[in-house]
Amino acid sequence: MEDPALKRMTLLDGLTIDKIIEEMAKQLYIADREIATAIYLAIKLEKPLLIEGEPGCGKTDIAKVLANMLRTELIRLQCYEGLDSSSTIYEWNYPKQLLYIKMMENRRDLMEVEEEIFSEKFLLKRPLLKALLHNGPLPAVLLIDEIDRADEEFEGFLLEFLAEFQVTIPEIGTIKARKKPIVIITSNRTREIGEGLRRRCLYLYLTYPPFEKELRIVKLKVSGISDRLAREVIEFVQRLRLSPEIFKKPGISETLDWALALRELGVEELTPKVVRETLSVLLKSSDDLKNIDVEALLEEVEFNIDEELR
Amino acid sequence: MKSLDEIAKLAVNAANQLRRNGIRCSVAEVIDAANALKHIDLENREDVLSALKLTLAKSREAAQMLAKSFTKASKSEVQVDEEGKFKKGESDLTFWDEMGEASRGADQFVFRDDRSGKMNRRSWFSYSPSDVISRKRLNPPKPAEITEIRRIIKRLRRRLALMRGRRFERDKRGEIDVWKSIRASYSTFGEILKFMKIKRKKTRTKITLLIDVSGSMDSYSDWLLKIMHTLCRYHHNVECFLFSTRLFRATEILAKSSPEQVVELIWRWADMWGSGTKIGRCLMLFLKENCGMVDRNTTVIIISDGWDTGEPKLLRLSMQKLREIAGRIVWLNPYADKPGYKPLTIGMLTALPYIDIFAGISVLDDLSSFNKFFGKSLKPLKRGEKLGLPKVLRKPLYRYRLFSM
Repeated sequence: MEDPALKRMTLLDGLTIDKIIEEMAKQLYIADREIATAIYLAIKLEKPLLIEGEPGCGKTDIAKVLANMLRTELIRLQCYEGLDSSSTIYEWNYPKQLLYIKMMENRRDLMEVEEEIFSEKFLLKRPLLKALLHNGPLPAVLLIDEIDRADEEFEGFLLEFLAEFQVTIPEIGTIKARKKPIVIITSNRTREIGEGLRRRCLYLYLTYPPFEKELRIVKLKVSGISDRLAREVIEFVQRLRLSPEIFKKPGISETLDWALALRELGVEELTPKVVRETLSVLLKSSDDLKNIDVEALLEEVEFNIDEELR
Repeated sequence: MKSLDEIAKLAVNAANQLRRNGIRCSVAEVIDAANALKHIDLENREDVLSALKLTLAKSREAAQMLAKSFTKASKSEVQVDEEGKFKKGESDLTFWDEMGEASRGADQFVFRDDRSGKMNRRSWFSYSPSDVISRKRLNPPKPAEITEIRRIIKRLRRRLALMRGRRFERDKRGEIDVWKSIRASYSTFGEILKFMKIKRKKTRTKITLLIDVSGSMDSYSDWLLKIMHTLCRYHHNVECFLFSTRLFRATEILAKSSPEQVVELIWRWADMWGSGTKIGRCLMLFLKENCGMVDRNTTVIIISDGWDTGEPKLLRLSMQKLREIAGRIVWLNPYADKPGYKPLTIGMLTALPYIDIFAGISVLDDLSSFNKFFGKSLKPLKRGEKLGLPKVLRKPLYRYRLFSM
């Protein structure tokens, strides 16, 4: 029997763009050639990949699928306002240190105790340090999610990490990456990411997929859905995205949720009643729900589907 | 298989193309591009373009520009082949001869006359957006003007501030600052006679500029360019969009180029100057694609005369949405400060109920006009405080608003 670790290593060595598309499809992710090229180059050049795009387009999923594909660890750092280095790199385990000092009070030389309490044993590793110290046969996948939510100061701090893949802990010294992690950074573009960070990364912009690709995604992820219903769902969503009255365009994840909901309800065909009852799965704003003309949209959808199937 | 030299040339050419279009490309990025090209099949154009985009273009707009230039370059390669065919066959002169005298006019084209074997130059008429642009008289802003505009914008951002930041300022109605009070008590030998009170200072607002560059705003092009360039080049947290019948994000070009370059680049890329206006459609596009950039700390400044050829319903919907998500909406109308002005255009009537500050464009002309309109104080405006509608206009406007609803 073939060793799985060896299989993974060979996957990384003999990596090609086509192979990435194929392997990602096995993980139920339909990647086009541009996405596959981005992943391929991020691995080959050992550079972080910055992915921007509309919400719900599968940015975060790329990292998850990549980790699954390589069967390596996914380390996720969710960004938020006020995120600082202590919650991203390391923290000293103060209660444990105090307890240890108390225990060792009368037994050892104080200097020795001091050296020991500032060792790796008392270090709480946070995502970035974890990614550097990852010890598997393949590098870990580090996902820095929604970087646009973090402060600009954190972005500045990331520059050093992404350039050198090392961190300095004053009490221990500089820790270098055992294997450079595969870094995926995502942003919803709520603010502009700094020039410095962009320069250090490969850049990919993801937008909503065309009809055929979205149809493949729905058929792959929602098993048992009929061809007609899948087509109707996607045609409806695509028209919704083009509709000028809708502000929050539904992403792929919303399309999948809607398709799943319809399948669970045993719906065979879209009718105005069904759409109205389930539309809240697709649209998440009361204004959008109010503004949409379901009948008109459905008429167009049905006309197009009939034309296609004819 | 291409040689390393060719790969390097390909990367450098792509980088130069971007640089010519106002996008910065560092040497490190060119090296990345060359390294990336080494790993892919160079015969596959799609992969080559993807690799160049991934390594050189670090924004959506830059990626679009690169793709456009790449396609153009591929087409011109095909055209070179086509030209090659002309050498063997007949000259293309006959085609232009057939077009008749009417096809010849102001612009010129070069062709090879096979009968004489020489290159000739001939003129012909055609529509060209670049020609429209080249006829505009645009002057890059002077250093003194930039300094003045920077001062005005600094005041504007302070005056329109919305959110409280980390820093504190003295305030009679704020919280007691113990340390400041103790420090102040040193002058009275440690006796605290007065409590020092502080509150958080309001931070400078984020600015999103939406500028109408349609035909009716033509005469303000020069002034608009100065404001756009100064805002994007010298201030953080500023976004600039141009609109007429389309929407164009100009922040990157404006922020990274010198005044002289900006004049050339902005006309080249935003080829919509002097056209019609669809304010509602463009605002809707802006909200759909860049909605995340606007939050409660953002002041949206729209510079337009309100002449709208689009649907008023779209404008109303988008203004409503903008009102919900933005901190303040400022509308600068070039005609607003002219005597006898009444906002009678459909666009203006629809938008007015959602605007916080309505003023003429001249408030940003110089510091004295600014002070006259906003007041000399540097303190931020109070929440809900409205400015800009002259007393004479306020009453009749009520009627207009009802009419427009």
